[in-house]
Amino acid sequence: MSDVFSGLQKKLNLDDEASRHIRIYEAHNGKIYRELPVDFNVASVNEFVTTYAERIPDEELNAAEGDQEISCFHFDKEPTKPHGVPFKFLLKQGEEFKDTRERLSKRTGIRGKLLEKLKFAVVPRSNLYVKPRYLEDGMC
Amino acid sequence: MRDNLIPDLPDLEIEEEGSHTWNIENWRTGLSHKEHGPIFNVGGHPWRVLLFPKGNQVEHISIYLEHGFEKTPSEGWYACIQFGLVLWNPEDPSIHSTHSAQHRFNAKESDWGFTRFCENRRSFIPSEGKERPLIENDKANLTAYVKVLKDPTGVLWHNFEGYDSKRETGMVGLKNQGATCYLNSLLQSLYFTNAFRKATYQIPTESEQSKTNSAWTLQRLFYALQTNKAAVSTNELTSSFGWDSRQIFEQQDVQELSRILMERLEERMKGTVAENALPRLFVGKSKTYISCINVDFESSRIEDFWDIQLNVRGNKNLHESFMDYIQVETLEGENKYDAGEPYKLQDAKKGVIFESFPPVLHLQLKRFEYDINRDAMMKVNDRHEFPDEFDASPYLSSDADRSEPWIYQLHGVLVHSGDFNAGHYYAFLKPEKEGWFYKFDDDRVTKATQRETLEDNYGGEYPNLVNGSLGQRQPYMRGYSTKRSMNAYMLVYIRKSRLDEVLFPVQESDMPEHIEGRILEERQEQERRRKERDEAHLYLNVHLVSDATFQHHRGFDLGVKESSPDEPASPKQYRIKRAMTVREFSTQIAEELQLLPEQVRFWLMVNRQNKTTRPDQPIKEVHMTVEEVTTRYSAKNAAFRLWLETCELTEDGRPTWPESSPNNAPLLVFLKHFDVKAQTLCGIGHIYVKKQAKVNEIVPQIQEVMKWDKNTNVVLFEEIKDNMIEQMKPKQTFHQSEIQDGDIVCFQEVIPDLDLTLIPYHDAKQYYDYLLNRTTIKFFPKVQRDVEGEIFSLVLSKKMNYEQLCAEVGRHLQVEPTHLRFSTVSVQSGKPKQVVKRNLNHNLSQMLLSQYSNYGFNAHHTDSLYYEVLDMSLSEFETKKALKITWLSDGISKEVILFAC
Repeated sequence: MSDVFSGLQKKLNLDDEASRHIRIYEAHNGKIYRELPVDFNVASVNEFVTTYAERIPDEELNAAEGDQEISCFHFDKEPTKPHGVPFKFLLKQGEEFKDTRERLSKRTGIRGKLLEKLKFAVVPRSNLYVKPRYLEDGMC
Repeated sequence: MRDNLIPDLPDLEIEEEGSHTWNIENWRTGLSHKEHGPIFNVGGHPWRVLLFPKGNQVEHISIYLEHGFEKTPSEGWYACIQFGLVLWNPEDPSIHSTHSAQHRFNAKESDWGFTRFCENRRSFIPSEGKERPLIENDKANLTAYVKVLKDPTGVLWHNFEGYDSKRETGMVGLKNQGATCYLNSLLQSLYFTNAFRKATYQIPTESEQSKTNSAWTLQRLFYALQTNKAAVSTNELTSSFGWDSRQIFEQQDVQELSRILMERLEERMKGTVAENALPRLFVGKSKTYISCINVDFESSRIEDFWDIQLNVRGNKNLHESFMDYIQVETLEGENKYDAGEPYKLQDAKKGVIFESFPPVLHLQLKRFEYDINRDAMMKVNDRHEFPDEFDASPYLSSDADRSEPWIYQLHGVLVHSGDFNAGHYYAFLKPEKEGWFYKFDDDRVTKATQRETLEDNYGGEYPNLVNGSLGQRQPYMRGYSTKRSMNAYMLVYIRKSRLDEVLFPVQESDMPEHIEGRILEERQEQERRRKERDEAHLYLNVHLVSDATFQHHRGFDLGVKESSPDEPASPKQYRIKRAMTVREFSTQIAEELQLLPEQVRFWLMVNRQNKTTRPDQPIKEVHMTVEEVTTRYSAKNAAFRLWLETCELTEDGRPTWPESSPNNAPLLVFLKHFDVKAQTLCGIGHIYVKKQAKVNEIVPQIQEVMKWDKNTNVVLFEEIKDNMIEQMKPKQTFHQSEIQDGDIVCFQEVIPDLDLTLIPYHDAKQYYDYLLNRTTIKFFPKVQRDVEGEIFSLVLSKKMNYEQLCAEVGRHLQVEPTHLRFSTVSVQSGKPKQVVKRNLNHNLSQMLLSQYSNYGFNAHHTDSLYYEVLDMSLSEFETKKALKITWLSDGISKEVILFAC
């Protein structure tokens, strides 16, 4: 996989520092399937998934003790109907949702009116069929 | 009795009528199987009864009426007869049996009557309620009532078998080419408007004799109508309009078509003698006006018209239609006319009035109308009468010129029979000033009576329909109607005072000479072609192979199979008379080659079992005709092929054919040269070798022919058939090598210091194999990373493996052969399909063989490939994997697609 990383660096004209903080992950059906580490064998990359590469956000690099990384995805009405580009997100201990939303906006690049239309919910990884728990401001 | 049996037919005049009674005695004993009655005369024709007392092959008495001429009647004899036959008891005339019929008797149909006149056995016993039988005591009377009818048109009850329009009427019809509708009627009508015909002839068309020139095609059509013996085709004319004929009639009605035709011709006539001829003939003037009643103000516009469209619905006859046309509408009350300053709104009269009529008046009767209830065009079949002659002056404005009478005479009635969707068009035309109308029904022209021309085409109810009957079934229509569907839709009237101007005779000299010349030429050409076809069996095609054609040949066998003038390696084709002798043919060929006939001889080419065609033996029987030779030697259906051999003359002028000897016979051998450097194979010529000579003895001959050095080493191969090429053993004799007349020996120079890596085919055998397996593959660049590539074709062998294929393509593209990758081409989309797997065991034809051919169709083309030039060698590439990575540069809302390996 390291070849891929260096290939990316060449393509995107990144410096060595930036190229070290790149994440490559496979997404299937609008959800993250797995992250591909540097020592991963290229031959084992799945053929029918979308492969994404991104710069790892600074907040994740500087995560505090007790912060938790979660997988996020988009869905339409029901969690069984996912779409869009999934991403990783850092949850901060004791943060109010209002601030979380702010950080989500920054993370995804979705702002303003579009953001107002979005609702956020917690979906358990194990069971997509339970009713999603929608999050409101003030919760933490 | 007579009145019941043969009632007078309406509309038919009687020439003469008469009757005759034949008293028959000894019915059972005195009559033979077939008996003729005594001859009697009616209407100037002899008649007699034909009787089969035992029946004409039926159990009935058969009785016919027959003409009484001793032999066959004179040419063209006919008589229209209405007749009745009565068989009756002489003692009691109330006991009788009758039948009647009408028939046009002529030479071909000389008798007419009843095979089952009455039942044989019942004739001898009294029928129910009667005391006596029909035939009593072997006696009976047979009376024939015969009425000869006048036949003014010459076509009464005519079955039109062998009817010749030209002979009967001096005119010919136009062929019905399907869906040409009113075109034929219109053309005939215009043709017989002699002034129009003459004007058409006057259009200069010499400079533009093309099928797109309507004037020229019309001239040709008129010329043909004037001179042809049979019906004329209109195809040329319709195609000159630039339309497919069906198209015309979908869009145009007869009026529009006539206008288009006139416009085109008028354009052509501009600046010629015939200029203004058409407007002079066909154009009249009408005035549209609004005139105020109370003040002196009139607004009017005078317009030209080519024809007048008259309403049929609501008008009983032509006069009413005209009155309807010129009726005056009064504008008053709320509908006042604004006459402008200073009159303002005024009561006014509005209408159309005629200022003048043209010499040839075309009247369109509006038989087709939009029916709002049915939302479709419907035909108006109402009765609408038109006179043979009328005075048009009542329809003229008060200030029109009346110095010359406006009396018009009917000269044409164009009739449509049927309804809007289907129907038949025909025309009644009067070509002469005085005389008959003729009915022009497609290819048939017949005389027509006054009644047929006028009364029959008025439309409306049938004249003598019996009360309460359903009416008659209409031709070309579904269902019954009491109204006749055949009626006039266009009338042609000619002003009586101008008849001579319009109908002056058109002479042969009026026809343009070039039209006549051209048509005569075409007829001759047709005649010539017909003759050629008729004489085709007298000729024979000979395909002649010679050293000259062989030397152009680059492939298998002695030449290209099919003869074609563009291919020098194909046999030369000669068309010769079958009756020509071989000697005559060789003389002809010798002249062509500037040789003496003795220097030329022919060999028969035979098809060998291995599918090659080679000379077998010379034709020695020079006095045989070519036909005899073919029947003796040539295989059936095969083209007749000969090989042409020429020879030098000795000093005393004798030909130098090789002497034959039984044990050591000379063998005819053809030489081919495989040039290993140039990689070509080509025919050289023929030589003779001795049967018992060693194979390598021909090497000096080859060296001489090729002008090679005496020390040149040569390898010899025998071309047995396309996939069988064998190296010859130099020490064997030709006899041992099984060489016979007509075999091919291929030779190749041995070049010791040749770099074999540079040439694909090292010896003739390999090259032959390539020839057999060669195929042309088209290569397309597989677009990648914006690199443009060329499209090219290569001739390759089907037996190539992947590496050889790469080498060839690499050489063409000037790239490393290892860096090439190929994909098959999809049949459906033309896009790259699968990447061709590198498998050294597969050859080119296997690579191109569709993997899915099991499904019965080829999923990809077998003659083309996509290629791509890789950055690395294919073997390295195959260890790598293509990854498509999406780079999320800004959160997740921005995606950039990248490729990496």
